[in-house]
Amino acid sequence: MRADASCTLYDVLVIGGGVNGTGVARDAAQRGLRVALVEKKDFAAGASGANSGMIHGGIRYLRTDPKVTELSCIDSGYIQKIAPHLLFRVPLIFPVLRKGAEPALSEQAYLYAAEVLFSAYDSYQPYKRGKPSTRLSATETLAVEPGIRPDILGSVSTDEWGIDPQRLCALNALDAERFGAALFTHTQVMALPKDPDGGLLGAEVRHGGKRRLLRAKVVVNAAGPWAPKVASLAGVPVKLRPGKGVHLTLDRRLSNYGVITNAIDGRQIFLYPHEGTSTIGTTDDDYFGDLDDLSVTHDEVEYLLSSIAHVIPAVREARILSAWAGVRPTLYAFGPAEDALSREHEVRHHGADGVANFYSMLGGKLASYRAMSEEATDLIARALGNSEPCRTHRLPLPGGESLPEVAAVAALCGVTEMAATRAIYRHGAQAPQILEAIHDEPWLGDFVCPCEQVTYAEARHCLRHEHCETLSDLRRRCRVGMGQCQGLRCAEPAARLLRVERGLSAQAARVELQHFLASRFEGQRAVFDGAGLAQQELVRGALGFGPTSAPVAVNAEDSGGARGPA
Amino acid sequence: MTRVLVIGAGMAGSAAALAARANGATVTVLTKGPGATAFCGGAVWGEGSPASAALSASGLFQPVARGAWLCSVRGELQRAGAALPAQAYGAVRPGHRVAVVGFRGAPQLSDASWAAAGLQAAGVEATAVELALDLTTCEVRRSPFAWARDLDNPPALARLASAINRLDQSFDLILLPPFIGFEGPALEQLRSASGRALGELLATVPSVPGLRLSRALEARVRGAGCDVQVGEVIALHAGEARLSTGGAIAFDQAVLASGRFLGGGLRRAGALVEPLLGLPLFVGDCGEGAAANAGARVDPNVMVQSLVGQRAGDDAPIFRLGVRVDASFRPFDADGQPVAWARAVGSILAGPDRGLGFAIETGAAGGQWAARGDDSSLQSAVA
Repeated sequence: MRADASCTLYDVLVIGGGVNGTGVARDAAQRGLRVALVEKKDFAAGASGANSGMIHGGIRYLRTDPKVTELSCIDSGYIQKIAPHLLFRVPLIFPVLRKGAEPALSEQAYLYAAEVLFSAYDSYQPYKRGKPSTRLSATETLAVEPGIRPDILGSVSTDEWGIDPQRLCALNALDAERFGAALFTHTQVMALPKDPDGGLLGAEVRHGGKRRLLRAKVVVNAAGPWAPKVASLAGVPVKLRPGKGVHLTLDRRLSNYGVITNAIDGRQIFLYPHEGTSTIGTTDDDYFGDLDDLSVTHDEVEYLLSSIAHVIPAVREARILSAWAGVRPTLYAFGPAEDALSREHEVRHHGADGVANFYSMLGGKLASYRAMSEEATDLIARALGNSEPCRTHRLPLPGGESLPEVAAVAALCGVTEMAATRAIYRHGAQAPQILEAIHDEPWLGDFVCPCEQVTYAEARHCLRHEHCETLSDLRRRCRVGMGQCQGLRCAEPAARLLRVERGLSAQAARVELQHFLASRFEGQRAVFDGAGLAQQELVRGALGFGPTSAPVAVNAEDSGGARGPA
Repeated sequence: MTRVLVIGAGMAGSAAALAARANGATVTVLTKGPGATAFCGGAVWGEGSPASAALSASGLFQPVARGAWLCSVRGELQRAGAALPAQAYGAVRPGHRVAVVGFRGAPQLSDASWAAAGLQAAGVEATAVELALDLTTCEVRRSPFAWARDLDNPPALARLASAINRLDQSFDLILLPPFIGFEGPALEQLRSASGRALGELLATVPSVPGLRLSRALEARVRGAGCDVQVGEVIALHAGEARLSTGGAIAFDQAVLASGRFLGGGLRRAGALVEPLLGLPLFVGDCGEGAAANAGARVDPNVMVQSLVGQRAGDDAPIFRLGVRVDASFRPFDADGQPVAWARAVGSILAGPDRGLGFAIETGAAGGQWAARGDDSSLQSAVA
C-alpha cells in the first residue's frame, strides 16, 4: 500500500478492481470525491480480464434485451472517444452452410432471417461508428475469408469493436488515481465492520500480513461474481446466477475477420483474430464451484474447437496456447437457459437491508460498464450531497488525449513499427514519452517479450507507474507472456527486471518466476498437445519448474546430494 | 561389421554412436536438429556417479570438486558430478570471494546482481561487477548468441581479457555470464589473463553452452568416423529406415535416442505415441535406474489432464513417460517382447528427467549392445 491511509476518512470505498469497480472509482474521483479502491488481486484479474474483449452492442441480446443493446452501442461510442488508442475494429461475418448442392428452402430462410436481424442492428451502428451489415454471396464470402469451408450459401457481415479489457481496467484505475483516488491492489477485504446504527464504518483489509481499517462514508461492492461473498460480510443477502465462460487462444491468426457461427448445440460462438493470435469463445454454463479455483475441462475445449472446425477446418492445425475461464456475474433468475439470461445490470442500494451506506453493482457487461458506473456514482454522489456532473464520457482515459502516428514514433524512438504499434495501442499519447527512454539507455529498446514485442522500456514503465506487484500484473498491463511461448522466453527476463525494480531477493524473484509460470500452466493444462508438451518439458527443465530451491549455505558442512537441497 | 543407425544426435545419441563405433560397428547418425541437449545448462547431475567419471573421460566435461556448488544465472546453487569446462571452472567453494560479471548496456542478458544475490544468500562473499564493454554490433536485437558470436572474434576477446585483468585482485573467483566459454584456447586465454579461477554461471534458455555442446558432439561423432545425416525417419522397419528426404538407410541395429517430447521421440497429437515403432508407453517411477524402468502402462488415448497434475508444482507423470527396455536396452513392444533389432537410450526411457549423465550412461551402454548385433540367442542363454 502506498500512502498511509489509516487516518483518512474516504468518501467512497470501492471493493473490486474489475471494470465496474475501476469505472465507479474513476467517476467518483472525477466528481471530487475522496476514493479508495481495494482489489484482492489485480485490476481485471477476474471476470473483467477473462472475457472476449468486445465492446459490442450484443446483437445476441437484440431480440430479448434491446435496451441492453442500445445502451452498449451508445457507450461503445463514448469509449471510442475517451480511449481511441485502445479500440480496434472487428468486422464479423456470419456464414450460413448448405447441406446439398442446391440450397434448401430452410437454409435460404435462415440466411434471410440473419440478414433481417443484422440489419435491425444497423440502426444502432451510428452510435459507435459501426458499418452497416452486408449480405455476401458464397463467392464473395470465400474471397474475403478463404478459410471458410466452400459449401456455404452465403453470409451476412456486421461490425464491432474489440478492446484489451485488462488495459481498460488499468486505465480507469490510473485515471482515478490521477484524480486523487488511492489504489490498493493485492489487498483483500476481511470484514465490513458496522457502527451502532448499522451503517458500515469502512472495510478491514489485509495486504501481505498486515491488517487495518480503511474508513469510508460509503462502501460500493463491485466484486463481480464475488459480490455475494462481499455482501455477506455486511450481513446482506445478494444472489447472482454466475455463468462460466471459456475461451481458447490459438497460436496464429486464422481469419481476416471475426467469424460468428453456431456451435454443435445451436448456440452462437465466434472466432476472431487478436494481435498475433486468434480467440475462440465462448461457453456459457451455470457455475456452482469455487470462484477462486476455475479450471477448464477437455469437453469445454472440444466443444469450442469442434464447433469452429465445422466452419473453418484449419483451426485443427493451430496450436491452442491457452484455455481460460471467467465467471459472468449474471443477475439471478430461476428458469431460463444460461444464454437467455438477461445481461441487464442493477445498482442496488442496501438501505432496505438495513445498511444505508452500502451499494452493490450487479450484472452488466463490459461494453456498458461506464454507463453502469455513472448510474452508481449518481446515486452515491447524491447521498453524499455532491452534485458534480459525470464527465467520464468526455474526459479521455490516460493516453486517450491524441493518437500518435506509428511511423513517427518508430523513427523518433528507434523501434520497429510493430513495436511502436503495440506501444501506441496500449499507451496512446503516452507511448512516445515511454519509448523515448531508449535514447539514453539503448537496452530498453530490446524486447523483454519477443512474441508480443514488448520493449524493456514499456515493461519498466508499467512496473514503475502502473501498480504492478507481480509478473502476472505486468502481463495484464502489457501482454508479457501471452504469446506463442507462454513465458518460456520472457518469464525470466521479466523476473530479472522485476527483481531490479523492486529490489527483490534472489529467492523472492525465483518464487515470482515460478508463480508466473504456474499461472501460464493453469491455462495450458487442459490443452497440452503436440508442440505445447515439448514447450512445457523445456520450461520445466530450463526454468527449474517445480518446488523452488531455498538458499543453501555454501559455507556450512553438508553431506551433499544430487541437487541443491529443497 | 554391424551397421548401426542412431536416431538422434543429442547427448544420448552421440554417446551411443561413439560407443558403437568404438566396438567396431559402422555408424550412421540421423538428426533433425537441436533437442534437449542443446538447451542444457551445462551441468551433469549426480555427484560421484559413474556417468560423471565417463563424462570427464570424454574430455568434453570436467569433474566438479566434491563439496563445490554451481550457480545459475538466477542465483540457484546446484551440486554436480561434472559440468562443461566453463561451468566446472565456475564451481564455488566455501571461502571464495566471488566477482559476478555483467555488462553495461546489456543488463537483460547478464544481470550479474541476481546470481550475486543468490550467492550472498548462501553465505558467499559475492559482488556484482559491471564491465563497460559493448560488444554487440549486429543489427538483430541483442541475444546471448549475438554476444557469443562477437566474443568469437580475437580482438573482442582480448578486450574482455584486459577488462577482467583489471578487476580487483582480492576476488579469487570470477563468474561470467554463460555465453563466452567454449572449447579451444579462448577460455584458457581468459583464465590465464585473469590470473585466478574463472568460469561461467549455469545457463538458461536459450543456452549458448548447450548449442556449443551439440556442435562439439557432432564434431566428435564425425571425427570418430560416423556418418552424420540431417533428416527425419518417417518409417522404421527391421533392416531399413525411410527418410523424409526420400532416401533410405539400411541397418542391422537401430538406436532410438530421439528424446522425449522435446526431441520428438514421444509425441501427442490427440493420442500419446512413440511414432517410429509404436512402442507401448509407461509412466516410469520416480526412482533412479531400474525402478524407473518399471511403472504403469499408459493408454494412448488417456486424457492429458490426468497426467499433468492439477497445479504447476504437482508431479506431472507425463514427463516421466517413456518406453521400457530389457537389460540390453531392447525396447518392449506391444506384446511385451523385446524388439531384437532396436535399442532405446536417453530420455525416451520411462522415468524422471535425469539429465546429461543418464543420457551418456545409457547411450554408451546401448551403443555397445547395438554393435554386437542381434543378441537374442545370447540373451536367452543368459536368462
